[in-house]
Amino acid sequence: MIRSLTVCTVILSIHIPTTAQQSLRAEDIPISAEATAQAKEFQKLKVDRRLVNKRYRKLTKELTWHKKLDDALGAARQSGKPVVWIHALGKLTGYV
Amino acid sequence: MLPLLKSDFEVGWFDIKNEDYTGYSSGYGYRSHCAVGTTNGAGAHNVQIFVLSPDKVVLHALPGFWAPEDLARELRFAKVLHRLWQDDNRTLAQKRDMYRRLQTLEPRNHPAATFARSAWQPFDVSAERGRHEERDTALQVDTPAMSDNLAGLLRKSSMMAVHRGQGVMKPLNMLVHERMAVRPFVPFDEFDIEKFVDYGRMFYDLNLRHREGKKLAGQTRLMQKRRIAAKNERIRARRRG
Repeated sequence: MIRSLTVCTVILSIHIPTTAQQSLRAEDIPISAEATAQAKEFQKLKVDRRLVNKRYRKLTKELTWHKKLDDALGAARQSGKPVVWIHALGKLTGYV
Repeated sequence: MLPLLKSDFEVGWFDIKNEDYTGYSSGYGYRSHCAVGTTNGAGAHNVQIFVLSPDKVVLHALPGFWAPEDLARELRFAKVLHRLWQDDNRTLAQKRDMYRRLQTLEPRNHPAATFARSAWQPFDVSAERGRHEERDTALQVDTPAMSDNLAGLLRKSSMMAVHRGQGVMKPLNMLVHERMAVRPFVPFDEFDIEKFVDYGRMFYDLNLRHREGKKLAGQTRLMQKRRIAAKNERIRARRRG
């Protein structure tokens, strides 16, 4: 992985003079009618509350959710993993 | 999604009920069914997902909700940024420069489906159009250079709503990476969350005409501050002529 990052750096150094030149333009954005239709379908998706509760139980059973950032960072220092720290309105159950 | 979180990350959760940047929304009821599908980046004031290094530096951040496949890609991208942050062979300046480039380039790897899922909600578009200030949410369009096919799709797709007649709304996946590109390896305590999530409507009223949402004390102060700043900006613009 470190090697691929190094290769990526070299490529970037050679081919990319400035970041501004590499920002996407509107013309570069991939647009597909099919993808747009699928995204609109996804927006309508609703799930039975019992299934949501089941998913919540799985989420809390399989993962250890730290309630304090210091605890999460302490665990990260031991494991060497980054922390996914979520700020959200309400509880992990999805309800306020 | 779950295996990725389990194997590669520590996870934590913080209730932001009392923070200034939170929008208290009417939302949907959840008696029988819960709405789970939305657009990427919707609800930015109510949900923020940070990926932090163990030494409390922001590697990546995502405002609002994200579709599982897009969230997974962003988390994998955050792992690349974590490796960059850990690289002892680079100076801080080199790491930050590399970070900016990676963030700027990343949307080029996103498929059409991600862009489609990163469309703006119509009420957020109108809120943005109503802002009388310089915004980073518009994307200039070189219309003559576009093919007829693309122009047709733009007109049909709410994904590319027109931004005050000057361009189109920047898809939110792109906006997020651009905003992160100017926040390279910022310590979490210095990360300006309020500015980072500043787009679209503060409140979602579900057409219940709660124009100001259901207010929380901190938010009332923030709204007043914004109104005064916008008014002052208009006065300054008028004076400039």
